[in-house]
Amino acid sequence: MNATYDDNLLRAYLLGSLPEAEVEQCDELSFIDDEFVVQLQAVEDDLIDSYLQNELTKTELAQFETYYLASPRRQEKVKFARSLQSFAERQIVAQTVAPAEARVPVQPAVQSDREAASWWQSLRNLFTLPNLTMQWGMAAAALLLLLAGGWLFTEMQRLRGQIDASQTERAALQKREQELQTQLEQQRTANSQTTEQLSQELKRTQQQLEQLKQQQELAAQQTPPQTSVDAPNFLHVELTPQTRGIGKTTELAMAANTDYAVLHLVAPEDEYQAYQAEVLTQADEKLRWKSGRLKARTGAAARVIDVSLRARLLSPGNYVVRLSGITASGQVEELRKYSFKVVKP
Amino acid sequence: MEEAINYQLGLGNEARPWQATPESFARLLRWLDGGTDSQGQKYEEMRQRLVTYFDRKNCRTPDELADETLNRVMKWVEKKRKDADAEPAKICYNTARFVFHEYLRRPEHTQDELDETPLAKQPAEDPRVTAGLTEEQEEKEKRLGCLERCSAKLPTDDRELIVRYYHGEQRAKLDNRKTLAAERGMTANALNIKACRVRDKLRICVTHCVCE
Repeated sequence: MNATYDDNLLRAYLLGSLPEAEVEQCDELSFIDDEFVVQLQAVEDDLIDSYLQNELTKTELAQFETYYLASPRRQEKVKFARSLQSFAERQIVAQTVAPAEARVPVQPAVQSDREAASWWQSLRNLFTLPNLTMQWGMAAAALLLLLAGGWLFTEMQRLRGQIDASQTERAALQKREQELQTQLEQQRTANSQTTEQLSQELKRTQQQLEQLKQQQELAAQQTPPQTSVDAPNFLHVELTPQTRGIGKTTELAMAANTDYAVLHLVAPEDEYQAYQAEVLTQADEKLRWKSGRLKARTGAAARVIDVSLRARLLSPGNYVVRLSGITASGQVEELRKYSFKVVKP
Repeated sequence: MEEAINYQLGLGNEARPWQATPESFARLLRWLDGGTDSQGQKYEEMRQRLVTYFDRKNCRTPDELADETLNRVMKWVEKKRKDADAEPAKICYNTARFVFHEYLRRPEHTQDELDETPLAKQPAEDPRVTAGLTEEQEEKEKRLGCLERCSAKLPTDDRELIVRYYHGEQRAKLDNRKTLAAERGMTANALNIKACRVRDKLRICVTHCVCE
């Protein structure tokens, strides 16, 4: 079986803190599963070592002392473990001291021999004292020194490595800083040059603009005012009503660029709310144009009604304007007729 | 299996008590070996497991109970003329359980319970403690001497392993073990098991040595 069991479970089993059902399972496994037996033994050894080295928790310690140590056989195991630890420590100290002994140099002078011998003898005496406490104290001190020395050496190596790394990093950073400074300087110089150029350019442009303004003003003073191209051209004519006798027909010389023909109709004396005008061809009385509601205005000599119509509606020919009055009740009453003739200029 | 349980319970129907013979013992060894010859090693292992089982149950006489169990198993194997079984360990365990339950019902076991008087109710001074101190110191020295002798019998590699494995405390001990495992190309678990086996060998040797 290749199962690996939980060390904590095995520990609890050994300390008598498992429920009965699990205890029975472990009991059975301790017979039928070799793997379990080996692992259980290893856990038991560790448990004993932990007890001897004060590594057990409060609860574990209580369980260990009341349950585990209840058996003389297990007490025996603890005793053996304690001896084994002492033995291991002794062996380590012996291995540490023995090479040192081998390294003691042989001095040619008798005096030196004596000194070396007496020094070494005193050290040996220290370890052969009957006082075990002293021996173990020294052993523990030597061990501590060794461990501390080892730790210090490792720590120094680590720190030295860190310092080296820091220095390298610092040098790299300094170099980078210098590069950036140089780049910044170059950028500043380039920027100042650009600013100078732009400022000169701006000044030149402003001067040119000023000159242009002056030229424009001068030109404006020298050029006469022109009619706007878009402004419409009006042709004004005053029409008087037709009389029964044959009179001269008013002529409108309509130029090609005339946009509107403005007919100023001399209004009758009767007062109307509003007036309406219709333009008809004289020959067949075809309606060419009809106005909306018109108002009469007071002219220089009489009241006048202004009629404005597009010039293009009036091709050369004879026309009649029929003027009607619109009463307050909206009734339309024909009042007068005006005639005119459109001719090409 | 039912018959086996009857034997485990000591409920055989024979008129006179059963006596173990060299033949029945040889049959038991064969039965435990399961067809191979382990030179009695399987028997020793099973006995050790039984002793540990009864000891873990805090029985006062684990050796005696282990032998009682093996006797019952031997009797059953002899009667059934068994030479092999699928799970001899399981049969031994079941027999051991019955033996343990019988042990719990023994009248002297009640006396054992009485001995487990809480410490607070025991006499304040135990004269044996004072007398035992010197004895204990001597025993320690003797055990250390035995350890020297027993470890000298170990292969050099095992000896070095056990010394280094049990050297140091807490963090230092763990670091030592890591280094040791790395040096030997072993996993931490394999190293634990190896150290455990060497330690067990030493313990058996030391136990014999101290008794001499």
